[in-house]
Amino acid sequence: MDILARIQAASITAPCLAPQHHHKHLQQLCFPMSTGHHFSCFYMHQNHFPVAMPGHPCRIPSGSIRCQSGAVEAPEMQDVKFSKSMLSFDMGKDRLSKVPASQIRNFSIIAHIDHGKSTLADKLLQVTGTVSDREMKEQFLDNMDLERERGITIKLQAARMRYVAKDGEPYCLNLIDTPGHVDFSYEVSRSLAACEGALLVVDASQGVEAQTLANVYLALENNLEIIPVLNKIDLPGADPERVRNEIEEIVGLDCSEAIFCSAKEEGIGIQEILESIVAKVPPPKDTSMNPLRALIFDSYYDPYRGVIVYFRVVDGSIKIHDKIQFMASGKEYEVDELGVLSPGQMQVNELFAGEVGYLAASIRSVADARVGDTITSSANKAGMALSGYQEAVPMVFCGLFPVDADQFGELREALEKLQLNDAALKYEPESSSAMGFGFRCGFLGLLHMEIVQERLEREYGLNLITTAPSVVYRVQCADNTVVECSNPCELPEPGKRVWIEEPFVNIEMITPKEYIGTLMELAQERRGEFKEMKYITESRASVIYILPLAEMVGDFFDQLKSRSKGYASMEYSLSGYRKSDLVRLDILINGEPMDPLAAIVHKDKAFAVGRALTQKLKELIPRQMFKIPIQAAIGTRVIASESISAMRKDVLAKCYGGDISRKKKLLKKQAEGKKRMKSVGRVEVPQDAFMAVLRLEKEVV
Amino acid sequence: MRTCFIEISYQVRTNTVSLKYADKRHPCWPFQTGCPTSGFLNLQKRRIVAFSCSCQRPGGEAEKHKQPLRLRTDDVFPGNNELHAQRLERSNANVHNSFVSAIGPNGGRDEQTVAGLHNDDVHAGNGLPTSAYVHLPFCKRRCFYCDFAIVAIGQRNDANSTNIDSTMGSYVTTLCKEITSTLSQLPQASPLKTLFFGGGTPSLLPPQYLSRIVDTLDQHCGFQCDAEISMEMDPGTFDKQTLKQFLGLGVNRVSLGVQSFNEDFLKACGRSHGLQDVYEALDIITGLNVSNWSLDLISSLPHQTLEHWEECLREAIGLSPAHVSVYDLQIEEGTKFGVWYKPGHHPLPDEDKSASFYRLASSLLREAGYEHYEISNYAKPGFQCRHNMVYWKNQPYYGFGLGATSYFNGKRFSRPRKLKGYADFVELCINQSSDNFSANEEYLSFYSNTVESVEDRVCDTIMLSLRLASGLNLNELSKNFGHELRVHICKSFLPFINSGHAVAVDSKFKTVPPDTFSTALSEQSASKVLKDVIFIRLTDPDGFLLSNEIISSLFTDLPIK
Repeated sequence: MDILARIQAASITAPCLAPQHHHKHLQQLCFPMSTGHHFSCFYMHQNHFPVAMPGHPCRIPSGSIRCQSGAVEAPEMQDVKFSKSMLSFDMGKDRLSKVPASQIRNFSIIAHIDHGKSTLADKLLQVTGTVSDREMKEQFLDNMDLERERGITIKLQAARMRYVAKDGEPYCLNLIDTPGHVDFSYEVSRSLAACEGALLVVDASQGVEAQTLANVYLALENNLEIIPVLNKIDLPGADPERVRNEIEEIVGLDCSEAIFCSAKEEGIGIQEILESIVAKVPPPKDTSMNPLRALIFDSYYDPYRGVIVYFRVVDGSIKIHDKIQFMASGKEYEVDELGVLSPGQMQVNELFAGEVGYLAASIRSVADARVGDTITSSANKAGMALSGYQEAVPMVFCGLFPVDADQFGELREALEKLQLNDAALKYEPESSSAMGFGFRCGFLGLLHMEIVQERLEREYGLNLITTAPSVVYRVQCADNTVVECSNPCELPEPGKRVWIEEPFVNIEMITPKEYIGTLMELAQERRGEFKEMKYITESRASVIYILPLAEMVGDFFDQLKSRSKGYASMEYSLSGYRKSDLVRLDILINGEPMDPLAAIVHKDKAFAVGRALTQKLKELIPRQMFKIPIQAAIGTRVIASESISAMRKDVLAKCYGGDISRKKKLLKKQAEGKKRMKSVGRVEVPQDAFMAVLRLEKEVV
Repeated sequence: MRTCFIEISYQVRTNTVSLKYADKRHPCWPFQTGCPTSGFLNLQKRRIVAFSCSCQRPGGEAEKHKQPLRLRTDDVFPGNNELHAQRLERSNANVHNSFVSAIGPNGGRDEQTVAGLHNDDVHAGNGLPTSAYVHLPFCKRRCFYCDFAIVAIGQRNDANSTNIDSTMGSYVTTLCKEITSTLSQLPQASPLKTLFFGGGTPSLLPPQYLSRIVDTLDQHCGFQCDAEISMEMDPGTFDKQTLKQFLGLGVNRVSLGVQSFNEDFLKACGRSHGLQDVYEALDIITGLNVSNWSLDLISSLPHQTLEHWEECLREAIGLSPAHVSVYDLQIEEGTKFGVWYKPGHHPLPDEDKSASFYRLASSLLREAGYEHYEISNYAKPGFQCRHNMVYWKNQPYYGFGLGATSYFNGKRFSRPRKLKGYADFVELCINQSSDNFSANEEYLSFYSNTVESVEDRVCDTIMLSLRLASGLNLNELSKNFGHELRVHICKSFLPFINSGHAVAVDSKFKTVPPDTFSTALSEQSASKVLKDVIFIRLTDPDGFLLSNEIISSLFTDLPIK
């Protein structure tokens, strides 16, 4: 009792100092201190149990307790009455200690946005003492501001926890967090591939959503053991029985042992979840004697240490200072730093098959250590890389232009920096007469695009104009070549092309039945082709359409949400290319084509789009000194036309009593306004007119 | 000896005056450049020792000037009592008029103005002002469109007369203090060429108060003998006796605020006078033989139609004023109109309609023999407002009184617009002149942020000169700001010259065809050809109507950040 109390007191100054609970085991004294302290944790490889080596005094902040290895016998747990928080505190402190592969459980959490994944993850960290109550920030795993704000996970991370199960054995649980959006389905699939099991978290009042399904299928593809968890059971609207049936019906998963839980506040069912992970998720195979193969499931760029790679050791082991090779990129590096995530980075010297950790090796760009790549040892190379590696293929493109032309350099630097951290982001310089210099960027999907734009504006202080997003078209040319094209301006001349193909997606919408009609209407408007509809329960249905991706990159998702009052959810996957009757629609101002407004649209829609855009421009472009025709044209054929009549009067009459300063102020303001305009030929188009038309284009195209 | 034929300008730097003949009969008139008549004289304590014209040009009455010409200081510096008395005597309207005609009613100078070849314009910009604006803020009531610095005093009656007099009296006292403190700080104030009493309604001020102001100015800087002294007057605020007294004080130009010849519009504007007052005021003015009078009109009033406007213009032309100002109604924030109306929306005329008002005024007034010499001003030959020309030509001027702006020593300064603030400001000025250190600091901070930058000066030059029919003088521009700017500005003008909104004029006052101009610009020899282009002016009415658009485009193009 005394000892425990003293240790707890000491933990204030030496949070890493803790005794082993099981008196039979040796004491482990030292854990990594706060960043910058020398790391000294030693263990015996043979039994994976930690031990402090004699002769290596541990560095502990002065004033804290110094225990000699094995000198203190911790009392039996059962003998001591201690609070829950003390229990978790003690448990968490040993989370770096090694356990045999058979006591490792790697799992992730699958959930729809808002179904409580992050809250549950937080609770697990708290209960296992990985994060103290004091350290607990809400949604610990989502550490980008943007993620926190949107309540979604963009970049995944991992957390190693120690849990002493009811069988009395300590288990090492690795939670691998997954991004929650379909744009990142490849990243999701890689983190699932790093696990043996997954918690399927479903909101007990909402039921299964489209996104949940997509990720469940990914998990099943990766042969994961799935543990159904019904969350938020204490909410007034919760109907766990109905949702349990729903899961059984839709996913075909046995839910008889589904866990009822509420991750908020008290944490109902958390212990059951932990026990269930230990019992059901299979342990990793102990293949630590094989040549090293480790799967990268995430990486990010740190300006001081280079790329930090998150990985799961599949075979063999990895030691600090090892020479390693990334099998897809072929790049070789020496491991400078090795550690585990718990959830902060904590250094260790070696990691074995089944363990999850991170490394730093002065890697210059995430492109060298891409998600899905396999790490192997340079000295003892594995014969084959792990399967499933894919190059990132951008699906959605748009032009990004700085509002202020002087920011072009800054934009380039910002994109370079973002790319260090985001191998999926592609960009190349683009220039247009109206917009000046900018970049054409490729993204995994719409969310990815929005996130990049927002980060550029928020983190780099850039003010950007974005063109309407477009997809990659395949153009069959008359000379029998196929040209891929995402920029409407680069579309080959009509005479040179035989046909155009565009990417289509399979889209599944899950909706309460009252919105089926309106969502089908939406899909029809967007050139959707009806595939299938089935009722998943009495009140909810799944509707499947094949839809051109181009129709989805606009405001489809927003429309789906608003037309279903927020109840419907959707999921899509690329289904391939198909021929479509597409044309390039040009917008001409005073006879000059306005490149950024050019769009590839379906022939049937060209007229409506053309009319909407010309009308909007007429509204927004101020009168100038001459008449300005505004036209929408397909090739040389004008399909919609408006005109702005010439300015008649812009004169300040009075300049009273020689007070010219006011007049000058007005004229200078007017001149400032002109500087912010983009000139298209002789016509000056205000920046916000541009933005408004681009916004409109996103809606109507 | 006819002192009125000589113009004097004072050069602070060299402490000399230069004299120029303003006499048409002199062979050197009107181009004094290089003529030794404008040779410098030594000036010692305000005394001209001698003046001789060694001009050898033949012809005319040149012979007369071959002999050294001696002038007394008092002849050219009307600062002493003797001349003051003389001036007062002359203020009789008849004498005044004959005086004007004797020098060919400012004719010589005005022609030069159109040509823009006033050599002293530039010198004057660096020198001390010879113009002053005096603000007299009192009005019976505030008109619905007005956002000037005014003080509404209501209709004068027996009950409030004393109050009004004391308010005006204390304002005039403060005003005179400001004049005294400003002018007494200067090493040598030049006599005024122009003085403008603006308001407010200056004609509400009792003549004895105006006399105090004139006396104060006379005492500290004096007037040139042909000085233009303008006064704004509103119908219904003066009688024959009052105007006679104003004229006696030296006022020789009257600007009558008629605004409209339609009773309904006058009411709708919140004017304090009716149509009857207008005609009575006109009777008084013509009855006293004031020939140099101006008439103010406002166009684009609510509910105004082209027919109304034409009627109004024809009525004005019928009265044959020497000068007409036509202001397009501007809706200002904080005015009643600003609350009631939105520019371009009913009942205000839309852009097209108010443009047609402007065109109509321009064509009718020009037909009637008025020169459209400035965007909103028209004058019969020789009757341009010399005071306002000082503003357009970016020359320095004093500003005295509530909310008045001044421009000298390269600084523009606006005085406080509230009576209390203005009184405090004047206190500071006085303390400053008495070398009170702390107040001095404060005073300086008043001025410190108003020094005009080169960019400001370029902008001022462009925006002011383009208001004039004569346009922008490129020779002056390159002299003051360098040749590169000249070429740059010519390039900026090209689209407007091509579109017919501006024209280039050569040294022979001939229009340079747009083709020639644009070819010149695109060729290597640009500088040579451009040398011949002396002026660029806006066309009337197309260029004038879009002057803001054109000026702001020129600003946008300026190479200066």
